[in-house]
Amino acid sequence: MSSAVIVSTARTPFAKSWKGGFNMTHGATLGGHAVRAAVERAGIEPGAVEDVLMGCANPEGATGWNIARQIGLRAGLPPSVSGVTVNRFCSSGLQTIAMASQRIIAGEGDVYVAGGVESISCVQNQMNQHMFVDSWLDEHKPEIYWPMLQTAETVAKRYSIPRDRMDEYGAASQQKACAAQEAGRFIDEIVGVTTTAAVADPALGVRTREVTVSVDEGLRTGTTVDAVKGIRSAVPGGVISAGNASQFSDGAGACVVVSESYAARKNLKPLGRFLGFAVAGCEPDEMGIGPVFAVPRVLERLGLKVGDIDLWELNEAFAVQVLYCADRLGIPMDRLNVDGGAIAVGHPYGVSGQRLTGHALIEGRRRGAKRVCVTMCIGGGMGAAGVFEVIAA
Amino acid sequence: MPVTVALVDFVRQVDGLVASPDGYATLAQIRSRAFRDPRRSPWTRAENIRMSAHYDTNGAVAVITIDNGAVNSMDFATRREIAAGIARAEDDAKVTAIVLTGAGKAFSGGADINEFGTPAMMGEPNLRSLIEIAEAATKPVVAAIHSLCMGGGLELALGCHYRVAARGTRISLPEVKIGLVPGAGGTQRLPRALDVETALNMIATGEPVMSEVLAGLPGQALIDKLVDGDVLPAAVAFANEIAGKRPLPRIRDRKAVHKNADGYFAFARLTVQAMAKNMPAPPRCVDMVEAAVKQKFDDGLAAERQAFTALLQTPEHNALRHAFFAERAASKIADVPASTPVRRIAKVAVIGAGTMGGGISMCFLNAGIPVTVLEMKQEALDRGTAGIAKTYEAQVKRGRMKPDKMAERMALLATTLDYKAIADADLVIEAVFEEIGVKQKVFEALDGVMKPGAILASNTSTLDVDKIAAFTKRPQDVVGLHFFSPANIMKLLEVVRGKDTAKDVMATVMGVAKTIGKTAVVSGVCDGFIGNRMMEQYIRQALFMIDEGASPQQVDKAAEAFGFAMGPFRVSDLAGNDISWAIRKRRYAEQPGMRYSKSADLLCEMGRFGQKTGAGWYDYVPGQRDPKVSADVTAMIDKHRKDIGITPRKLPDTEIVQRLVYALVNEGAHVLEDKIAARASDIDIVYLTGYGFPVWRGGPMCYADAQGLFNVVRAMRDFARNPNDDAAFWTPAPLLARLANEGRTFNAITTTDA
Repeated sequence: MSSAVIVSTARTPFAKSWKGGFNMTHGATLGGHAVRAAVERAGIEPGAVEDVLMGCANPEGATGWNIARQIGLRAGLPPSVSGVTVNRFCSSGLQTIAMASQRIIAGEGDVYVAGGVESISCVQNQMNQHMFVDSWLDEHKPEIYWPMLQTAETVAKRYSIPRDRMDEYGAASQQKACAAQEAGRFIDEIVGVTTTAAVADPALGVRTREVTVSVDEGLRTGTTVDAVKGIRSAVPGGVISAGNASQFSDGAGACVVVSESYAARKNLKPLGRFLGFAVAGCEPDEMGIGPVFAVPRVLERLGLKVGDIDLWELNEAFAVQVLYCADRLGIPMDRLNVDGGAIAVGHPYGVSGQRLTGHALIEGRRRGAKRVCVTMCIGGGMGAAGVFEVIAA
Repeated sequence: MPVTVALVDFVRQVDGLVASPDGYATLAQIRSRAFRDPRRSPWTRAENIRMSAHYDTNGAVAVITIDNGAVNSMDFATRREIAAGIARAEDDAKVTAIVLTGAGKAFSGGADINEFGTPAMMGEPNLRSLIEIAEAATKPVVAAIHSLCMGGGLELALGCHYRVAARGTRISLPEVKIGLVPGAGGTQRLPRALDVETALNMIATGEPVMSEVLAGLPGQALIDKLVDGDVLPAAVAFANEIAGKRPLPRIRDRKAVHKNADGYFAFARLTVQAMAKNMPAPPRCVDMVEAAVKQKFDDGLAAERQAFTALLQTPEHNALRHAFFAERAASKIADVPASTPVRRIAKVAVIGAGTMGGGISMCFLNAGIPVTVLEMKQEALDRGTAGIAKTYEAQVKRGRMKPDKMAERMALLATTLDYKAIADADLVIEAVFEEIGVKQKVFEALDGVMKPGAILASNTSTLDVDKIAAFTKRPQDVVGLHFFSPANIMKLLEVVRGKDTAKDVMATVMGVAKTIGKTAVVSGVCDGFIGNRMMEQYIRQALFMIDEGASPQQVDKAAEAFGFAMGPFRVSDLAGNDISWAIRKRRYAEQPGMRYSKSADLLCEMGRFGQKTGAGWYDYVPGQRDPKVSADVTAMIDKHRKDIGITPRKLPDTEIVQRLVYALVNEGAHVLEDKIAARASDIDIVYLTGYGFPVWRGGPMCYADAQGLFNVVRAMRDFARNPNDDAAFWTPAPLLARLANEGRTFNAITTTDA
């Protein structure tokens, strides 16, 4: 049985949705950009890729029409390379890496591209609402249709997590991300994009112009806890605010995953090895706690304990669920989201799993970590967790 | 509020475009009435009536000149004459090309807004038909545009085959400012003539762009030739040049293209919605430009027609159009004709260097008029001057003012401690402490030193201007000029006319108001004048509702959801609760019958004077903009309710809004009856420009009209039955009761009765 190794990672910077640099960039262009860079960095023949697996939480409109197939073509891969779009909401980008690895382990193929794409700007306000709700579910399990914000408020209330803790966490995420950016710790994963964006120019009005996005747009240097505390809650009387929740953003990311034997044969330089992956469900009204169930499941199967993981990337959908999951799982805070997370960097749903995997391997290598775990909560009430072994340079 | 400001600018731009709304017919209206009979040819009309379009020939070129009022508005008669001119040119074998231009200071300012919503608007040829006639002409039609080319004027020019434009022409489609989309093809032709993005911005904002800017855009087809100086000879020469060219170019045959239309229009829609909340027209403008890109020309025209017709029916259009007319009406005083001579105002003095005195001084400095500020103490003068300098510095810092402009303005400012130093001022404005004894001293001093004919104005907000005038031996020269804080920013100026104020003083100060960029509304003498007198009833209701069970934040939220810039309690905290406390104390003595809630007094007794003390109806945390709910205030209100024996109930937001706004309406009706305001629309302008009333609701009286006065009276009867409210106040004012009974409206009486 062959094992699967990740030989490259590349992502676009994450741009603020609606006002940011990718606000009119099609999903195929965003994704194509990331895939082209990942293939180049891996040093493989484009035609060697067996399939392009792209995660996307809202696979319609500008990211519809089997966007993965479009992305493959847009990236310059030959028509012989297939493409499949995968949706498990916020874990889609991790799910595709797991699927690619599993297919390699199953002996089905040697070379895969796996990642994700999301354009909240171009899709979220234009979603197809026709027959959106199933009447039986709406009657018996209405929480399945709740907005994520409401589930986060529920977690805060149900588990008595005060806003102060969330705000402190939110400010720390910004501070850690800014420090990481300053120190150049995102450079190895990011590939800048030049595209056309729409802007509201004070003098010229609503205009399109060429922009180059080279860093994540959500970072705010100088963020203080006091400043975050002063931000108005998203719903009156609530505790979730823009300062303690992930940011809407657009972007794409991709990894090249190959069999260990292929890597050896082609003399490729792996970043890490796929060890295992698990998903688990929970109540939809508290979807944020999903990692509490997914993490023990994957660790148990691998015969590992929380203490065996040297670095954690737990997606920051909301500070409240990060704090609850860390408390419940006993994750040491000094190993958790060391370079900040989605509160600062942004959260293009279908991409985040790819970003966290790539970043954990790069940062894990820098720190001399042995194993990293990437986990996140998932809309509808689920958690996903993947464990990877870091391969030293 | 930017929208208000934009509208006011718009009003200024097209001032003279339309007939007076006072009910007096203008020449244009008389002419259009004369030609309503379709059997009469405009070319055979009686000699003594001026034509609104002339026909002439220059060699082989026919020249049609629109000549109708200040900006050549295209009313029914004018449209007929232009159409007839084109027909005559077509019939004349010697004519090979047609030039269409405008006389005087405009090509054309567009449609006649007075015709909107009347049958005359669609009287044939309507504007769309006229444009079709020009576009379908078999001889080339060249628009010779200059000075001003707006709205329907631009739409007509776009229907011509060629356009020759003078440098410096202001070109715009301003319909969005009165809540409409352009209705005669402008949304379909402009994006085909210019690039889509420039066209969208012009249509969705209504702002003018200069001809030389548009002529310089790559690939544009709007301006075939840009000329310096007189446009007509250049256009005739151009017409001769192209007379033989076929096929005739039509903008409708061009394509409007955008590389990423979906992405661009989605962004544009979000942006205009955020910029103009509650305005239905701007997003419709985006839709129309999108139609120009995505649909066939005729389908786009049909979509535009539908959108235009639908928007005509919206309350927002009605409100914006009302505000447009109301602003123009407010500047007119029935017994002070336009011919009244005015006094020259070249030097101004301001008494008092406080916040108000400083703000007032800046109004004049900004207009280039020298100001001398007088104070009792040098420290006060220094503080005042520093305050003015600080305001200007902030503007320079933000790039809103050039440093040399600031120096220029500061150079116009002088200070003095001596009344004799201001004796030769043409206008002196008193802005001292609001106490009648203080005012007396000031006006007696002014009476002693001021040159004869100087206008003596008081910035009092509540005191009796007649009493102040009586402190002098020249009451005819005394007038109230009530500025609103911050005086250098707020548009509203209440001009308080005393019983003896001379007509030429009124005419002069109305002119001064225009010079310093204010919207002036005349008020008679009464406690609080128009604005504050009505506001008192609004605040009284807000306080009653607190007693009954609402929280300050619920009242504020309901008022803000209605569209007020700020709810009553946030406004009180901003203005200072101690100021209204002082006024109430006076009222308790003067009008012991008026019932007030004690909660505002209790608040002041707690020392909670508002933002300046960090505590008022809300708590204010330094560095945080949002007011915080105060537990102390909640406890005070709870205790107060217990003390007066009220069991709190939940007030619906609709009740809160109705009690606040209808309190304004009923008091407004009294204000009209008492002849404090001359027109209901004056009251609306006071509230739109001075009190943050939502512009898309047209002011309190316009809003009441829209609700139906019958329904307003019905709601008041319900309020009167509430034992915790003031039943006597809710007895409908006789004027309101009468209008409701007759099924009439406040604002109809302005145009017929005024």
